[in-house]
Amino acid sequence: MSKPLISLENVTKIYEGSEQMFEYGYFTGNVIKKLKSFQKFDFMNNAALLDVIALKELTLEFFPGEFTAIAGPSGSGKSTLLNIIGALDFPSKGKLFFEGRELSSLSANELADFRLLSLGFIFQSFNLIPVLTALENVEYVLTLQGLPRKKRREKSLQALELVGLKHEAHRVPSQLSGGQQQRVAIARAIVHDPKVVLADEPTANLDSKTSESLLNLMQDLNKNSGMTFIFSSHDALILSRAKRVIQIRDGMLV
Amino acid sequence: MIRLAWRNIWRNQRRSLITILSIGCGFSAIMFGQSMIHSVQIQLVEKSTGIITGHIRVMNKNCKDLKIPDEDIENPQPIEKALEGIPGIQVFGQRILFTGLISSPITSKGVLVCAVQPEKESKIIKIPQYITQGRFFSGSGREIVLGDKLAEELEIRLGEKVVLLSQGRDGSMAAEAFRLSGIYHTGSTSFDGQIIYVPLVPCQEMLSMQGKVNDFVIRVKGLEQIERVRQEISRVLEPYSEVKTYTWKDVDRELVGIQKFQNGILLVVLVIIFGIVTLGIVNTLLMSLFERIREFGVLMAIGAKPKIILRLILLESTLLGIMGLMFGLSLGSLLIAYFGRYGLPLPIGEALSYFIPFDSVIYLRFSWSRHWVAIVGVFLTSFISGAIPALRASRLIVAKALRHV
Repeated sequence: MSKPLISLENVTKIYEGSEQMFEYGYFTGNVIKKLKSFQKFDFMNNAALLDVIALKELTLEFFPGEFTAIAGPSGSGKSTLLNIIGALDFPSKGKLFFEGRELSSLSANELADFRLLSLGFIFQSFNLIPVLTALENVEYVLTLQGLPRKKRREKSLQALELVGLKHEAHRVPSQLSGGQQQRVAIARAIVHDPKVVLADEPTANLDSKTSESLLNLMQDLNKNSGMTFIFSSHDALILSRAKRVIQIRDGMLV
Repeated sequence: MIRLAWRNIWRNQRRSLITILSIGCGFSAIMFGQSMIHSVQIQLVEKSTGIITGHIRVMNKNCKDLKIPDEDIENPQPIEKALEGIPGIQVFGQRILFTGLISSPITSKGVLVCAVQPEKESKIIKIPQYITQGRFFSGSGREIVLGDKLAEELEIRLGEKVVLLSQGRDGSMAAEAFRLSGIYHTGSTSFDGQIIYVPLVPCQEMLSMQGKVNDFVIRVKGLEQIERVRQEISRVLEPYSEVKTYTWKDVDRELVGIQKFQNGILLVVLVIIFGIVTLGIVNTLLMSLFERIREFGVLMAIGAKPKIILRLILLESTLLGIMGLMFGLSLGSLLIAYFGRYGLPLPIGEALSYFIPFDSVIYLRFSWSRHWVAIVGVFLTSFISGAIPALRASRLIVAKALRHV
């Protein structure tokens, strides 16, 4: 068996001191902490800072070439898990390894480099840069990598061709349909040949026909290039296509 | 990145235009204010030095009162020779400044007497331009030129005689009759009512000061050359230990005080305008930052380092600053050019003219040494204003930023 690409060891994520609704109004965690620190507001004495445990001692491994879905109801922790895998958030306890390298010790810049070179992201709400054209959105990742302009253009157009949107390359996101925008997002996620593509509910805002065609596209990419795909989703379509489904509930594996 | 910053700016056209307008209007207001103070000061100095003070003065170093020198220059000839040929000096003349009593058949009045070499003095001071009746000396000996206010008080007309009384250097009572050859009007109540001009030679006789003077007045080719020429004169006159060189700033302390007061007010106004400009930029940038937190999260998720976000926002604020400055510079230059040509009527002239002569129409001129400070200041302000939101944005936690709605 090959070595794991990503492994999580006893990963726990706690959102400390979450916001609460009091009879006096709404306070965020930080405000509650501040008010308590003054020790002058009696009504705050009873205000407990609720810690929300999003993930609880999770141990998991992902291998190269996987097409895996993390499934679970809303609030189960699947997006948090995906954020931690993508180094967008930090575990409160436990360790995260990518190709055997522990990520928690990396600086913000090193993490940015890691994401830039090894990961691709697809978001539920597409998250394209509205002022850039489809081509420029895709190209931006390569610009950050410092590729020369000609090479960037060439690779970006190839990626757009792969998702069937080469002819819309010069349109800005507002001129594209939801499905087209998500295709651009896929092109952006794969243009730099990342090892892993993380997709957070990629079909949630799309109709079933568009969802299916996008899924076909990602499946082809997985098959042809061996790119690892990890989804967080409760979409039955994705779950039916995934080679492996990880069920999660209340921050724990089911 | 410049392309991204540029498009981000024009994403919300109205907001960016308002920011550019506020920076531009703020800057042009600063520029206009600077130009106005500069022009007022130059006009004040030109008029004040043009009536009596002159640009540079050479007096006995023991003088306690530089306005009415109380010590004489015993031997002015070598100094006269030394001054000839100093580059930068346009013209100079000898004078005796003293106080006296002027009497007409009707009344008497205390005056400041300026005994001058008429030919030279007409090139040093601007009184010949202010003559409303008669001439600034016709060259026929004992003549007197005085202000219209004094002429009115003494009730004398051109060609009539007045008697000037003073004390000679030997302690005797000195009196001399002069015929009125010219009446001037500067607009300054104190000048027009208190200063009279008479030829030097009859006064030397009258005051028993044959061959002596108590003042050299010098006009240089441009106001900006005054200090350099003063240093040169001091160097040349070093062998003559009885005299000392002064500029108008040493003589006319009131005018220097007014300048300082104006500069102080300008500084306060500038600080207020800078504050408004800063608030405008910070406000726009903070608004656009909160609107785009998720977008910064996306950029960071796909691999943009925090410093790239920092640079992007700083670039946006700098571009806004540059565009605002360009607009402000054009608007300010147009205003200054317009009022430089057609003049800006101000009520300040009448208010000031009670104690110093001043034109109530200001002809604006550029003050680039000050404008540069404003340009750099506004530019830095827009840059620093961008730094606050830029730093905040670069420190966002990516997952949190992505959740931002």
